[in-house]
Amino acid sequence: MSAPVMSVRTAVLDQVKLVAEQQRRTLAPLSDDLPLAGSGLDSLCIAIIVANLEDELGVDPFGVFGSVEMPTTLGEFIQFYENAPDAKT
Amino acid sequence: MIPVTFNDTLGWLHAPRGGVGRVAVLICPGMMQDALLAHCSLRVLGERLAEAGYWALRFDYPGTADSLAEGDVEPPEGHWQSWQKSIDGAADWLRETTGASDLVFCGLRIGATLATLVAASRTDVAAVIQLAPVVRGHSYVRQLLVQAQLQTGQPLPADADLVFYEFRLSPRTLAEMRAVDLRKTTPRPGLKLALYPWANSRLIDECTQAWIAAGASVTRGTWTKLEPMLRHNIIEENTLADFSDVVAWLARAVPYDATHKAVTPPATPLSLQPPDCVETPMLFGRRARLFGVLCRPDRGQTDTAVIITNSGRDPHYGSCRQSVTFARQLARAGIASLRMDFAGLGDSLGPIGKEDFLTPMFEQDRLPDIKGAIDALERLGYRRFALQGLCAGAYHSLQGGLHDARVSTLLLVNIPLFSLPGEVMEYLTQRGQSFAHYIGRLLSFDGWRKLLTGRVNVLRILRGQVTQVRVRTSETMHELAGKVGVADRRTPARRAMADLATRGVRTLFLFSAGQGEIDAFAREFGSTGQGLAAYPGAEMHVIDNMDHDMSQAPGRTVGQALMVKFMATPAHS
Repeated sequence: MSAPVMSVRTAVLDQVKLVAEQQRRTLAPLSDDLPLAGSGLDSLCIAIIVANLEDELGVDPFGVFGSVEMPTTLGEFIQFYENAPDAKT
Repeated sequence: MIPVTFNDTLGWLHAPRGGVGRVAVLICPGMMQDALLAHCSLRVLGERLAEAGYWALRFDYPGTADSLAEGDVEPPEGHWQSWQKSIDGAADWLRETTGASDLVFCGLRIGATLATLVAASRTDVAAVIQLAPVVRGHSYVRQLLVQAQLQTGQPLPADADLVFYEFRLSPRTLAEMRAVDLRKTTPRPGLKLALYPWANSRLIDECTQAWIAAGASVTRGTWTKLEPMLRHNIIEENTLADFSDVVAWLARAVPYDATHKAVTPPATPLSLQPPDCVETPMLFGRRARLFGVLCRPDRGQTDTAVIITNSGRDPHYGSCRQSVTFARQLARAGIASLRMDFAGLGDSLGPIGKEDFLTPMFEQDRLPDIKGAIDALERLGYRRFALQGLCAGAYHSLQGGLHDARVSTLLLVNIPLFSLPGEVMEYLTQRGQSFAHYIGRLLSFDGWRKLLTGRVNVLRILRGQVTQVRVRTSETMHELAGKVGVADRRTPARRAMADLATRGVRTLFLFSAGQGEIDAFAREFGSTGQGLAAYPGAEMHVIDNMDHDMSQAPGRTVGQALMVKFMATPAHS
């Protein structure tokens, strides 16, 4: 069963802001078409966000879909988690 | 703090002040980026614990930092078991060496996870301090996989080895790491746990509840004062983590016992022997406040030593242990080296009164540190000296070569500038971006919106741009003044190369591919280095698959091989 869409979106955006703050990164304005590469986050930040989301949402979309192709925009990234089965929040 | 070697690894023993010490704290670092960022803060933790009456030991896991083992070779028991075994061995060594009866484990990130697992199997661990622990190995492995994929741009095949930082992690090791879940670890009843999570989360709550249910005493602290420990490196002077809350908790939970008579640690053999090399930790410089590891060939004589400086503000072993692998390659080619920490970086103390600060990347005079290193090596019989550095380390090495006539070779990787502009950070951030680009951005609607909402730091951009303009104007003025015969027409970079060539100093420049890396060099000597022809002994190479900080193995291998070859080639061949 899929998780409620808004709660997953909120969880993703919360993690993006949290990790940016922890790593002292200045975020570009967050919008669905924002390229992850231009968001102000580096590879470490994105990797930490992915790990935190796995812990918080209880899903590993990379493993679930059998693919490790990275989404390129923030919107795609959110959708990646929204479409993953068995999210817990 | 005393450098020690044991169990094929290097460590630091912090002896308690005032002759006490029933309790010893084993500090288990994080790995990869977590280890690099937190290195100085964990040194401060060792010092704070010693001031509070505790023994403290920092050490390197097998395959990390200055340890003997190679991280890209899986030991028979696998990395995961080998790291746990090394904690067990370090704990035994610490007890035997100090006479301490009680142990406390303090771990950072995956080090906290390992420490918790090992503590569960011992009866002499009174407490575990967990700093930003990794609760689920599964998500930690995912973090490593995603970061590796983003850095290489290549999807990682399932069930393949993960080659990342200094490690080659086999599917077996990854599976063992994935299986770890601290919520399912049963601490010994009565064990005292202090948990300082990076951020509060559902997992941390579940962990706390599980451990309390198992009979452990759990205290939750906050990350606020510890935040500098995992803060991404920036260029200016920074404070390090403040461990006052951690030490205060320990003093309440496991008092150090002021009546205990201290045991003087016995002298341990201070050397490690990687294949074909001998490595010895060295304290040197004024009041022996600087630290480095001397690596020399295990046979034959050499009078040549390469001083390997800090890359950026990474500790002396370097990101992915690149300084260690380079030093050992040099030794196998018959050349000695000293991989050192500048003052206020790694294991070298900062200026007096500023021991708890990370010194600036560029705007700190490193000449006294380089002089201290050469003096120390000279006393050991070395007569020919080379300086090697990457990025800021290359800048400082160039300055060292210009100011110390004993230097005969320079190995400069991705040197970003030849002389310091006024606003270094802004200059480096903005280089490659024209002033017109920023003005254009400011005049766009979106730019104004960002400006009005404070999301564009105009002052900072302008400061950086003004610095760039100042640098370029200065270069132009040098040219003009030279043309009309009123001044030396050479820029600082060209003057530097002329001075070095006159002295017979050989200089190797290495650059990663990409405009940003070679910008300052190309303005002076051309993007293919054609301008170096005027300076005998100087050469340059662009290495296609080398990244800025040489963190990826293929480019690093090529770069290091070129440097070893340059060192091994006679000056006039």
